[in-house]
Amino acid sequence: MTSPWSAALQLTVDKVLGRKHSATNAKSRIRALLPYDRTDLNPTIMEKMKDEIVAVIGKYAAVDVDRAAVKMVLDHHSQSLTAEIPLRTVTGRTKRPDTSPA
Amino acid sequence: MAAKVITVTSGKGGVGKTTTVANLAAALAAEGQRVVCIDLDIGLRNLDVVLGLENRIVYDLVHVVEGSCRLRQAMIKDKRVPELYLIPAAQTRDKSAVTPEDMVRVCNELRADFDFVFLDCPAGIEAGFRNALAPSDMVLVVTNPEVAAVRDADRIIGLVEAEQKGPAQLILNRVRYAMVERGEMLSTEDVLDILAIDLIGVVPEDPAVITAGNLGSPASLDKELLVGQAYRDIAARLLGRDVPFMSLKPKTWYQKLGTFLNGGDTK
Ligand SMILES: Nc1ncnc2c1ncn2[C@@H]1O[C@H](COP(=O)(O)OP(=O)(O)O)[C@@H](O)[C@H]1O
Ligand SMILES: [Mg+2]
Repeated sequence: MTSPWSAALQLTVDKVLGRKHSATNAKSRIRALLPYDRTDLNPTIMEKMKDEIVAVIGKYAAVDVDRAAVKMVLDHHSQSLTAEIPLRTVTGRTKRPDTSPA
Repeated sequence: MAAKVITVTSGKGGVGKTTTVANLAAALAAEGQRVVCIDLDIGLRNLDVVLGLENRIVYDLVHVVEGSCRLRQAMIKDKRVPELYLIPAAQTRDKSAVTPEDMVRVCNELRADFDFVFLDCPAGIEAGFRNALAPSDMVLVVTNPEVAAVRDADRIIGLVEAEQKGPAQLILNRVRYAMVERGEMLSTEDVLDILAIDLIGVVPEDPAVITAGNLGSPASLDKELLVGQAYRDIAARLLGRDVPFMSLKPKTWYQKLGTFLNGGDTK
């Protein structure tokens, strides 16, 4: 039996108890795995690809290796790769200068 | 008029392909359409029992393609509706006994005399799937609101597109309204958001499908059943009618009481 009332009550109870809704889990798991299924890539290959991209860019600029990332982006029936390769500046700063008073 | 050849597929097994074929074929035949369904699950035939026709099999699809019987001899006529026929799968052979070219030939022979030909695809993406896809005019992908089923549906949709048989249309089967409401089952919107294809039907989970299976009589022939209505709506959409998607919300006890007091059906 589900009325809008009992559904709403259930949701409130779940929230109070901090219960997770497994459908959200299901959806995010599918979204995470589909780009790999669709392209025949896998996390190991992605890691290797990142290392190679970092190596190429590293020939011309100082890469902040620890923060470099190559990600899959799923958008309906197309997917793409985004590479985020943060660079170290020539002055040695990796982040924006800290402006808060010392 | 030439028949439309409809392939019903899924990738994953057990999601409801055979149930879908039986119900849509029966619903269309009940509307006066001339319908043939072909079981392509060579070695694991099922559609015969779902339709309750298992005792009348003499010839099967492999006999037809090998030329050991005429096409008409392998077509078992369902007696409940005017024009519904089954061509059963061979039980003792393997999938290599039928080729995609065979299926194109068989379907072309049927096109002139029928309105719909349904192809019940086996699980998987190998030979049986190729056989079911070759003659297809329209592909229906059946899935369930579960991680593995949706993943396999995505793969099948991609393969159908690659073979230029798309765009496939989706049937979401075994939806439990109460679980969706509680956030414990993927909703229709979730699945469509992921798969990004057109929806042609949503079918609720209903024990009546199992009792219908026990009887060998598709639920779509029972006017009282909500699940039967879901299949009849899909059948109507296949006939080009613009049918709104029904609510899967079960009736509450006071609605049932109202209907009961008015002498109506309470399911
Ligand atoms: N909407 C539904 N509600 C309840 N049971 C269902 C439903 N659809 C399918 N089933 C059951 O699920 C099982 C698998 O269905 P089937 O049509 O044989 O799947 P497939 O052909 O994809 O392998 C069967 O036992 C069937 O009765
Ligand atoms: Mg089946």
